[in-house]
Amino acid sequence: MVEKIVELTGTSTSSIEDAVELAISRASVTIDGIREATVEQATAQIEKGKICGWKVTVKVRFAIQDQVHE
Amino acid sequence: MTDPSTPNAAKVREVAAGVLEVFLPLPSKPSIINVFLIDCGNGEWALVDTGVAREDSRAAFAGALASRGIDPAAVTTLLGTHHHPDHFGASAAFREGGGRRVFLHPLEIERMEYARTMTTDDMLGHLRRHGMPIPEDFSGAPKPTDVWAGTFEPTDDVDHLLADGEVLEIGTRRLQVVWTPGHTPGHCCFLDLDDRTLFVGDHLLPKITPHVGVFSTGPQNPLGDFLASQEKVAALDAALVCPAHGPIFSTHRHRAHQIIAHHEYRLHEIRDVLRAGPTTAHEAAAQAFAWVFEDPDARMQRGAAFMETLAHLELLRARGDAAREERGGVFYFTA
Ligand SMILES: [Zn+2]
Ligand SMILES: [Zn+2]
Repeated sequence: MVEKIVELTGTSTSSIEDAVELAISRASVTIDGIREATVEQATAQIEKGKICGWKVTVKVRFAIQDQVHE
Repeated sequence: MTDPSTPNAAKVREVAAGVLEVFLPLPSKPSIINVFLIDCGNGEWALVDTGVAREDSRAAFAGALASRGIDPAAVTTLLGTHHHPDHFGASAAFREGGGRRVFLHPLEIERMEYARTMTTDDMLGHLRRHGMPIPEDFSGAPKPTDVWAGTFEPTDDVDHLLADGEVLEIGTRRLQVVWTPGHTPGHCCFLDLDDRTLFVGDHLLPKITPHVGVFSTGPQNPLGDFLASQEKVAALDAALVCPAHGPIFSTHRHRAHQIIAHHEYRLHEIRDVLRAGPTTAHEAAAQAFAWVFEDPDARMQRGAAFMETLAHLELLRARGDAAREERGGVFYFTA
């Protein structure tokens, strides 16, 4: 089996998990069969000494599904 | 752009046994609508959608009929998927030919009535209630009826009101009506029960997602309707999908689920905007459709982006994932 890896970013105003979920939900529109996502980086966005948002970089791994002609 | 030297024969092709796809020009994007001629036997044809009421479209359609040797009088029945100008705009001209019948869902007739009677004030009031900053003396808004001027000449004489699940028997064809509210409240698809060809109008497009927006006249939760209609179509047994825009395809289930996934992603994104604090639909749209609001050339798309954001907000509310409160005549959403 050969898998493919795609790197993408997601942001959220509330949490890291939410930022990851957003990135995965977008990836799922065009990619079938996502098995795993690795959070490569998480960055807190700061305003006036407080965290106001999160930006994550995730690597999404999925099996390549070759289309058969039907 | 279409090459003017292309012979008319190239603008019509047979996509299934007795089903002709005809490409008709549109004045703006998407630049083509596919209408479908269905051979019903005994020299009788049904037509799915009309194209707009413009000379170039009329000529292209007449040319397509001529190239196939079809007498215009043989096209007896118009099946309207929905009322939009590219689909129903030339229905008055179609109806004028004697002995012809027009089929449409009753909720589409209601929408046309709203479109005709809606005033600029109704529209501006709707936008202001949802936080769009429009000055009191603003006079630049086009009348809702002006937007469709030159393309929309619908007939008032609908001979048959479509009902969900009914089977239309036209000549040798049996076509089932599949009511798919969402893009418009009375949108219908048609499923050929013998050949399993599915005519989907704007409901299930292969490349783009159809616009789903909340108008001042309702309904309140069109995106909820739209997603339910995607599930409904995904459950059908279809062999070939004939969309109004874009190429013909066969994977209706996969595409329906992809469209659902697209909106789930947008719901997620918009809910996240609300979590930062109470937000109007206009503010949420400016964040969720940042590229539309930042590009002056995309100004015309702002209204659509706003109405589509509002559709997502109302679905979040219907699911219990967001709430709405009114302050000073303006609605704010929270999550
Ligand atoms: Zn439409
Ligand atoms: Zn259309």
